Amino acid sequence: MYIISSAADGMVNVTTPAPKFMAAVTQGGFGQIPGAEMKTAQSQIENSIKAGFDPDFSSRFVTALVVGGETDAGGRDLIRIRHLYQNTNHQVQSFPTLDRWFRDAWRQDAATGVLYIDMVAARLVFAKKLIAAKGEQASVLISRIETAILAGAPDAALEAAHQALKDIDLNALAGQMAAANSPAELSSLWPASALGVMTV
Amino acid sequence: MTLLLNRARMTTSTTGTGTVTLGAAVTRFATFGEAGAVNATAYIYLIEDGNDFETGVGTYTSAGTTLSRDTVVLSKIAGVAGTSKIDLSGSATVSSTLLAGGATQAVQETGTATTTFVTPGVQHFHPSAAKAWGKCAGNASTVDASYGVTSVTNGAAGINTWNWSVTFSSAEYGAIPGVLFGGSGVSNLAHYITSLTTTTAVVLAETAAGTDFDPTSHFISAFGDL
Repeated sequence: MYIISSAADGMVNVTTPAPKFMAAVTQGGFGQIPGAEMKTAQSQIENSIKAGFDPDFSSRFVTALVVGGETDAGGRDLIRIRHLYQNTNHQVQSFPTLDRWFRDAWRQDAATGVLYIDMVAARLVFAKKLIAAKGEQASVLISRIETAILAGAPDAALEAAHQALKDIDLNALAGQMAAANSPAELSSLWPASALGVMTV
Repeated sequence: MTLLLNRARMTTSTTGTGTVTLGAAVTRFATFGEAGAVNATAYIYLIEDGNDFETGVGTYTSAGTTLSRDTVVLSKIAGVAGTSKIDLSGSATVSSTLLAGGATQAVQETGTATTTFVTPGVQHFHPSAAKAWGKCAGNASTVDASYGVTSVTNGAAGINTWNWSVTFSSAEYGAIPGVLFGGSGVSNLAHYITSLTTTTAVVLAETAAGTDFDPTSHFISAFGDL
């Protein structure tokens, strides 16, 4: 199971517990902190307190690593308190199945904790990836076109591809993006003939 | 480097607290030389003389054949434990043995001792050993292998936070990120640490065009003081 939470900036955090850690805090030891060296455990508690964690939590965390005793929920609780304390809306659920291409547009409903793709953020993701892809494609094409010219064999196909890139009508696209009501509609606007299929 | 010898035990007729001249092998034991002792090399020894014993580190000299008593780790003489040398009676035995205890965290962190053993429980405190490491899926959906890691948090495309179960003594430590990408359509994938605290390391992967990007796998290893 995964811990889903929202950061202060609205971004969704998906936290995956490490199986080794969960085994250690539920069953004990496994060398995550040397159990035989209790002085080490004490110094880890002190480091944890120095890092700003509550003394009781620090003791519970390190003790669990050495001797176990937590449930699975307790183990996730340790992770949440230690690493996600600045996050809100914690949920424990299976891995999100939202369209990962729009990962940076994932948001969490404050009331229900349900994840969704925010269309305002999705348009920004789309625009950012479009611009990046266009720039990268142009750079590659220009390099290949100029290499062909300097070799005395200009390549009309490459030049046509470069022209197609330049012909992408950003003004028209902006209007279409604004009118798109779903991630799928947004994806359908990708100028695949000039840029290729959406990947990154 | 201090070494042990396989089943070596010898008599000595030496008296006093100085270097021991080695005699014959005790029945069913080998001499230091037969057990492979190398001239001018330090070995961990045990001297037993009546009810007294002395254990420590000494240097073997093949010409002679002698063993100096360089450092006494523990002795018990007339029932008194300490680090004194036995005033040998002339009828003691000398053998090669293990010292109990092994290196502590502090000894490992200093990293210079040559007279103690390292147990698995403290091995990773040596400065050269990774304090935490891991491999996870690029989107952090799985933590495939790890040590010293509680979890991985995926905060956005290409951005994974490695959450340590160990707490470093300060943020002055080294973290080395890595990525594996088995797909196509991406060139010059960059990855680097964007933030480091005593309990976390944030790794970012992005394309040459600056687009945050999920690789196939993320890796991390961290070295420093706990």
